[in-house]
Amino acid sequence: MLQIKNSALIISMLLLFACIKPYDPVIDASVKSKYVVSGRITDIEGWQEVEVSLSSPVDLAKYVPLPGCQVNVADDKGNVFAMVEFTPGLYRVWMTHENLVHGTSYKVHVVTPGGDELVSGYDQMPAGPVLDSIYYALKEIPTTDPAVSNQIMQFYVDINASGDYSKYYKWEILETWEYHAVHILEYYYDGKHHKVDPPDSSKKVCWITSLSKNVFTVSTKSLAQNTYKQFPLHNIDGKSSRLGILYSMLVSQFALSEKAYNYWEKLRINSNDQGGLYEKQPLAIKGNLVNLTHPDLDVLGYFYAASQSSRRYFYKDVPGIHLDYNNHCNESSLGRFGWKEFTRDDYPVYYYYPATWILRILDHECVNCTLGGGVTVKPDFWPN
Amino acid sequence: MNLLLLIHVFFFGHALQDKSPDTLVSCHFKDAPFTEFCEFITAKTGVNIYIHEAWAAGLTVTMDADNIRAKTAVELALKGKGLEVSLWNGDLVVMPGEKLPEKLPGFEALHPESDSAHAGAHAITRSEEHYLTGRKADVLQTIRVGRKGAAGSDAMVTIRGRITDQQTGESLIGATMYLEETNTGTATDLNGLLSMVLKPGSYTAVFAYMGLEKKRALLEVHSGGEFNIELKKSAIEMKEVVVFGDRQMNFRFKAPGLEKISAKAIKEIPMMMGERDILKVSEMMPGIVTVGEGSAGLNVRGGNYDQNAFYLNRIPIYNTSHLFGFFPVFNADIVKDFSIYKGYIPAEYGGQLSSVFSITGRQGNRKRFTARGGISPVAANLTVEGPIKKDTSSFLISGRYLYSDWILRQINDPVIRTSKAGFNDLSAALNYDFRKSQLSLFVYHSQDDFKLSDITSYNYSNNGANLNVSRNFSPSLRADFSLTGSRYAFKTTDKQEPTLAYQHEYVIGDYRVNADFTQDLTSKNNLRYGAGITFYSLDRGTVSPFGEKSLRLPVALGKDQDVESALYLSDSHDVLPWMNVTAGVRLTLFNPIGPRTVYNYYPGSPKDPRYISDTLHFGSGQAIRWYVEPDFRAAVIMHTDASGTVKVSFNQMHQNLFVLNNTIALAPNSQWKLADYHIPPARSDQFSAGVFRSFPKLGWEASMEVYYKRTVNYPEFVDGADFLKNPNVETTVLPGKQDAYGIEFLLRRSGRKLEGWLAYTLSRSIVRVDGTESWEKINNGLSYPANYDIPNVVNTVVMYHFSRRLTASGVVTYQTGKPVTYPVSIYYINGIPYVDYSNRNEYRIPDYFRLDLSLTLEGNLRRNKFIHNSLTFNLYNVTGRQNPYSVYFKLEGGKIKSYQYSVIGVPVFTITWLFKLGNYASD
Repeated sequence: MLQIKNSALIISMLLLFACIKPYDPVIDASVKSKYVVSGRITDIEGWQEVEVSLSSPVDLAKYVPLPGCQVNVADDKGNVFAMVEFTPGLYRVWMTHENLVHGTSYKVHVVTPGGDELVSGYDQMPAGPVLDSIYYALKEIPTTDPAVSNQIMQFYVDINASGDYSKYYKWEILETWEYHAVHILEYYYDGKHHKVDPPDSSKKVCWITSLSKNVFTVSTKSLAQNTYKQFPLHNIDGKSSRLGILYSMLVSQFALSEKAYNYWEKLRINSNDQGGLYEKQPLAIKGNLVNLTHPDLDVLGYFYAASQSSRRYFYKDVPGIHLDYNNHCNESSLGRFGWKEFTRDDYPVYYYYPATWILRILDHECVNCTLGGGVTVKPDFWPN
Repeated sequence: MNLLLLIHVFFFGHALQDKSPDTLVSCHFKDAPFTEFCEFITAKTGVNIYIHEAWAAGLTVTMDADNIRAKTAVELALKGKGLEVSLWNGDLVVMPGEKLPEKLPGFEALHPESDSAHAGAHAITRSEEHYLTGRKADVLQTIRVGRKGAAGSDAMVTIRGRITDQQTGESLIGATMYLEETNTGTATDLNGLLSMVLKPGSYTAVFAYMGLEKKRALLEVHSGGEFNIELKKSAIEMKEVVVFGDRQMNFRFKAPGLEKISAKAIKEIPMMMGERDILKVSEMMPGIVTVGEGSAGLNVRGGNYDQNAFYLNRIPIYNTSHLFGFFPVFNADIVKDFSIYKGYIPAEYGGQLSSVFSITGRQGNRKRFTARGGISPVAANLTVEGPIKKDTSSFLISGRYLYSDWILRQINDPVIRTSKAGFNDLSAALNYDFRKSQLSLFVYHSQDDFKLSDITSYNYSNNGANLNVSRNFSPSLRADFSLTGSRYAFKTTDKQEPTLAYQHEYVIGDYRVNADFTQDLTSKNNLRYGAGITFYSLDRGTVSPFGEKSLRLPVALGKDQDVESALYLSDSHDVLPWMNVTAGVRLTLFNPIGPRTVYNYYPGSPKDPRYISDTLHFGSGQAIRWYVEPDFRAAVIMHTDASGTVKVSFNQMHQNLFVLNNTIALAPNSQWKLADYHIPPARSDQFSAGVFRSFPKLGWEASMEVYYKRTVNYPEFVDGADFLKNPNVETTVLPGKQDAYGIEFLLRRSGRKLEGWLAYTLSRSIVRVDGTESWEKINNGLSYPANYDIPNVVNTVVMYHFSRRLTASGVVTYQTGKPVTYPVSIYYINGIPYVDYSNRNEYRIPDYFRLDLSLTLEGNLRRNKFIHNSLTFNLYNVTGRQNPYSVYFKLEGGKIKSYQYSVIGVPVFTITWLFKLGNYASD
């Protein structure tokens, strides 16, 4: 349907009449925040986690964790696993192999500090295949200028499973990449001039770790075999710092139950589909939790059980990708009025002497990589 | 034509003894005023010349001639001016484009002792006849029906008449005959025939049809029989009613909720892209709204877009739009009559719940060959027509072609530049009149091709044919027999994702045999009855993998064969002089038939492949279900006084055919599906009541109608239903209940220099899907506004005729915004934000407002010309308001951004050129 929508859009665009512009909807401000419970049990021995939070208004979107809940996970064999709060709103329990068997069903039970009892339905953990190969292809993306196109690195995954495995898949991509501040800290001015000796390079090298926001789901249910070639995952390009030094991604494949897949598929549709002429209704997504205390109040989120298979990949110096990213480091010369132009609010003012020995003022981003969102702690999997 | 009214000014000369138009005169004039010339002729010959002073104004005469006849001199003086000279009692009468007849056709005097008009020793002119008929000032023609003495003195007889257009010989639909003596009237049916039961005697009959001159005639009825009468174009005054029937029709027609649209209105109302679109004009009427600019589909009285039946000369049309809805598949040039039934639907129609759009194409011109056409920036059309045997048979061929690829190639976008869009349509009509029968054949074809770069392509086509024979068995019994076939097919190729690339072909065939009878039982009682059988053959096709990389499993979506048999009977009875009751029943038997395999599901489980309990196999021709669908319909019309009526109706419909679609607009690959083993037909009951009133002196008429419509078993589709993967539709459909109600106001002025209308509708359309099980609910079982629930709609159309050649018009449209589901809160899973949506359709997008203007410039009004041109300048969306078609939301960097999408966000200016062979008034 997406294509039809685009065609109609194109017909009106070709006539240059159509337009798309931002719109500010008036939404009932009194919409209450709802309970959100999400978590999963995977077949990998270790910490199994459940998050409890509250939803927030659209215009003030923020994560509102809900600490102080009692959270239990139960399986259909009568075992109950009490979770403990690890960080506010995040509850976890260590589970071992013998309690993580394919075919077992799990549910979660939450009692909030307000006394509301939230419970999920059972979700059965299916067996899943090992993550098949991840590979990429460089693609040319045409631009409005027929002479210019951009290169992207498009990642793909294949599925090669037998019929015994689940036919419902979800992938998560945890990206990590190293990037550097352009300069090391040597000179700064805060009313007085300072020279750091030896120069401070502690904020020169950073790593960002982030979960890809796209939902990747696919089902082989309607295909001839439980195989799939070239399922497109995310793509990256030379316009971000990802490929600047070293890029890594941890691809996790989850084999889901059909119900859990339907939930994530709906989330995917809601997140990915744009409006247009043939717009579908946004889906009213119901999770698998209910509020036993106040049955009329919706509980958002989903609790499910999945088989997990993960693998880490590294990429650097990808041929064909032209690096053209902004390092957010701006230099300037000292103004006409010299250092008097800087007030207390501007301190410290960083600067350096290039080879010409004419002093250059530096933005903070030039000497502090953490301002780009990363941390200076090297991940333990990072190569030396 | 009423001669006396036209002759306002006489040029009297001296009465000479030897007055003769054959007298020889010598004329030598240079740029002399015509009046001077006349005075000269009168002085020389004693012949008076009669001309309307307005026609004489500005005429000059230049002539050098010796010894020519006076009549010839006058003819020479007027050559090329579109004025004709006739002889009248030795004098000359000048009239525009018309000669007085030399003889009166068959006149029977009012006096019983006179046997026939031919008894007179000399032919009398119309004016003499007029003089003879004396005080009945307007009666010009006598129509004799039947043989003298054939009927007893008290017996009632049935007369049957055909009203045709004098110029084209075409039968007129909905033309009226009104008898002044009895205050009764009737109107012609789809074949241009009317009938009436009355006592033998003399009557004054008034014949009227919109756009044509009203004609009064003396109707001499001796016994049952038939007659023909021709009406002609009103070329003198701008009488052409611009929209929806003339006043008389509006008040005497027996169907509440019937709207008619004239071809002229279609031309003069401003249109997007300059393409005349009858469906868009219908959207200006109360109770009818479009699903959106540039998209296909109409919502009539709160019904979904698949609840409307479209018939083009009885051929059902399954896809009514070209190019996703930017153009209609109906070429405005071939439309003769366009009627919309949305309240009381006559019993001969079954099918869709909300409305019937019945479009009757023009028959070819029976008098002469002619052509017409038009060019707009993206499309061109041409219509050719003419007699095969004059006055007896005719043909018409019409085609359209879209050539927009040149625009596409100008666009600086790689996808658009390599895309293609095109359509064409072709229709042909053939008509033949036998003495008691009429034969007509109509063939229709439309084709659309759209290719979006190398990503997706759509092709779809409508094909249809109708063969109809009408026969008069007796003056009171008439029948229509027709054979109709229609086939709609589409093909989609989708290559967007190589692994999922597919090709899909779909076809639905609809083959009908119908017999319809009209019988006059008494003068006050008319019976209509008939029977029909429809065979549907629907192949949802196979979704097959496309390309080497595609891993799609071929899915055969299944075939349906169905037989729909119907009988109907309806009676229209003038119970009281001021009250007419029409009551009808339509009994439909709908049988899905084999071969087919059907699944049964465990009771208490969702209809889902996981819960199949049983598989049923039906053999070829075996009935799978017997759906008996009785429809009861009734309408009462009460004339409160000469200019007011009250109409009340009840209408029941069943619908066996619906569209598998969960999007807002009708897409070109929307699949029609028939009711089957699991999916029952939908049913609706509608009550409506209306008050109609005219103010003839002011040219105004006003109406108000209320309606309430309840629909059950209307298929609603579960969220995210995918109709390309699933042969078992029952797994994605839930039966819905729909309540639609509203009040419609219309204030209209016509027949004046300033005309137009103001329509306001206040309505709601509410859906509820609330089954007993949790999976049988949508929106948790709560009521929600339908996607097309638009409470307030205002449409204003104003036209001002500066002259016959120049018309300016404007349209103002306002609508409440459509319902929409908004995101209401954000929640996080694993640090990623997700959106929580409101209840379905809880909010509304901004209101819709649009102003359009157009100016139509007609070519000159000369009578004798080869070609008549007109230019229409169109400014669509004058204010450039960016009316949102939809509002949508995107999650960008953890923030929800909302956007509105406007199909037409700027003023659009177009010029359309139309031409036809002949003059301004010719058809």
